[in-house]
Amino acid sequence: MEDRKLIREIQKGNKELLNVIAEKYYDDIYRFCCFQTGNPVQAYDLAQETFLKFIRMADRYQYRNLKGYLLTIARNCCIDYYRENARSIPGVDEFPEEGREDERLAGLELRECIQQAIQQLPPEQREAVVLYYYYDIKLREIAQMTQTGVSTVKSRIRQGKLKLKRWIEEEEFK
Amino acid sequence: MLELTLDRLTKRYHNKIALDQVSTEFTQGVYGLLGANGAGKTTMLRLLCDILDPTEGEVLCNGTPIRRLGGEYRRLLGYLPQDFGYYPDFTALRYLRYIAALKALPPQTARDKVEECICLTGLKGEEKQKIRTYSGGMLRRLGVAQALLNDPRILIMDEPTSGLDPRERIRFRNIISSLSRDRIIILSTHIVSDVEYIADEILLLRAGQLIQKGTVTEVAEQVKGRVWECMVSPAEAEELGQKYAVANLKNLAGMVKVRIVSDEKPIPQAEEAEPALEDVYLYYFDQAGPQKRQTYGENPYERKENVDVSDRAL
Amino acid sequence: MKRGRNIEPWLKKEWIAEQKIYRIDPDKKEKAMAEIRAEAKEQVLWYQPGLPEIMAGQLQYLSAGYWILQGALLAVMLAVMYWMNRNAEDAMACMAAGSAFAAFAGVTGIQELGRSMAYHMTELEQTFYLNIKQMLALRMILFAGMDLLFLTVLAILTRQGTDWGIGELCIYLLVPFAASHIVYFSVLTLVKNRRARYIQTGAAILSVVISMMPAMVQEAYRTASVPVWTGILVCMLAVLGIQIRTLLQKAAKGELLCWN
Repeated sequence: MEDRKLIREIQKGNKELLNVIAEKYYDDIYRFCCFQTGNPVQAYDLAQETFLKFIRMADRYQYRNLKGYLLTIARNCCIDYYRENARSIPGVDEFPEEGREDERLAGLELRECIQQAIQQLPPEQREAVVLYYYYDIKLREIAQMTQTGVSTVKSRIRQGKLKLKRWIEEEEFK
Repeated sequence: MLELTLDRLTKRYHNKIALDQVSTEFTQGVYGLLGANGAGKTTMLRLLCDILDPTEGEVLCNGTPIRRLGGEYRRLLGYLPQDFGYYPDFTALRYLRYIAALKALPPQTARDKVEECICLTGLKGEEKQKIRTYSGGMLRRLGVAQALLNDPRILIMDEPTSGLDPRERIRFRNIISSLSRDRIIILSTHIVSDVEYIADEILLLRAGQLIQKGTVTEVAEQVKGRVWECMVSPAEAEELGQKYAVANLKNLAGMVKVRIVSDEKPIPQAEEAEPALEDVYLYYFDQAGPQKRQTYGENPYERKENVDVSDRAL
Repeated sequence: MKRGRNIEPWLKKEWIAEQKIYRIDPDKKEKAMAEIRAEAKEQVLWYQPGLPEIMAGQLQYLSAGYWILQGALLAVMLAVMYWMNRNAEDAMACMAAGSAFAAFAGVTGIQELGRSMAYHMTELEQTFYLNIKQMLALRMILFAGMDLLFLTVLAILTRQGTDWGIGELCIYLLVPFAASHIVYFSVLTLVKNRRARYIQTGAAILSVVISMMPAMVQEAYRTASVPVWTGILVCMLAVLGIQIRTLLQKAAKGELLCWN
């Protein structure tokens, strides 16, 4: 069933379809939370939180782009998480030095992989690149989600992509 | 958790004050609103349902005035008015479906809830009959069914058992008791026994003012030392009936056991009795005086309009 | 900005899904999904019906009486006007008949509107989620639509037996229509029980009689008097507008519709 129909059925009273949506998008949201926080362990909770929030507001949701909507919620969850933990969204060297062991290990793994290229981008550029390329979100929507203009988003994507390319070329050279 | 607050709620008509500066809170549980006719019970319930606008003060749901909440507040509400309206040529099923549509229940949920409420109120098997064929008891049950359709967090019922026979009243009490406890249930009545056993708290309303609020025990405590019982001759009983508020009369082998509510001891041999809710009612509401007392000679078990005799004997 | 085929592989969606670090631990996922399922189960979803659904609901619950009466009225009107067109010589008689029907047309709608008051439903209806003001407005629009359809047919039929222009005819018919509605709205809240029906029917008969009176005056339907008719119509529509607005305002909050 496609998204629009899912939403309509849910708002008519078929609550079980909420689970269908969660199944469908959990993986995507999890990965997005990984990108945003650099913390794969925490990302499970944040993804869960995203869907809980979605369920609580499901009856008021006006269907437009479900994936974009879920990503917006996820983004806000990540921001809230960092605000509460008084940290900024991590860049390249900002890994939880203290904290849980498993989080640190996961963080280290991340560091060792090529994905670190993405993680080391400044948060706004990373976000824009991830949303644009990995989640197929349109420029206008990214602008809405991040509350900036389309041209800002464009430039962030361009710069982000350039940085990534350069970083990966450096690594390959090593 | 839901909390309803009344903040100096007042309703005035041209020359009459129906409700006078009533302030109180309701949280989970069953509340009995007791008062004589014209005490302002119906007005208070209508104000709670957002049918009437108060002259002063307001009703707040979790801190927000219900006027501002509008439809979102009414979603939480289930109401059974005293004079409950229905279309006689509708069947109960059609009627409940109509109400479900007006309560904006989604189609599938509506069907399920209608079925559920029909079973809950014992109307299964009669739901396809026209409402005009229903007895008084069945009508009231239909009223309860419609009130429960949207699974209300706030259930308000105005004199839900008036005109019902004892069996129907017991059935009603059981339905209310079976509802889950995380609701606010407010019942108004002038029949004490209806709320005595199921209410967590009692509110006494007189002439638009809230004069007592508390659990049944707390409220009954208020008239401790003012309830008396004595065995007297029939003639004495009649005399006492003229002078004092009589809560109960019982014939016992030629003598009469009289239960009296009064500030002072009516006769020397009277003994203090443990107060019950009914005594409270009589104490506060029997303002009319001796001329409305029921006199010896008439059936003490018969319900009278002016003196609400206990039906505990039933 | 292109997302075409020749972008770097690590910018493609599929690449991400394959990366080890982003692979999802099924146990952790299941745990999260269980929580989500629990929340979904507990959540109460409020349903907001769209306008078409509300209207369909309203139509569904109109009483059979309304439809029967409307149908009967239509049939009688068709029969009478047809007969008049064939047999009546006098245009005035046609006009009188047309006016009578125009005056009578609104009564079925009004009776339907008053039905909830007649059966004490309003006190209950005011406590439901759907705004009673909107419901009343919706019903009035529904009935107005029916009535205008009726009037259109009436106008066409009346025209056949007379030689007034269609515009002029409409004005002549709209005046008794509007006037009768003013009367109906006035008596709508006068009596709130079953007897209301009799009062409303009485008002209808009175309106019909009054509406036929201009036909007795030859000058009333001269072209010169069209401005007068138009002026009267405009005034009546204004009064009607005020009546409807008052009714809707009072509908939301008790006094008009409750017994006190």
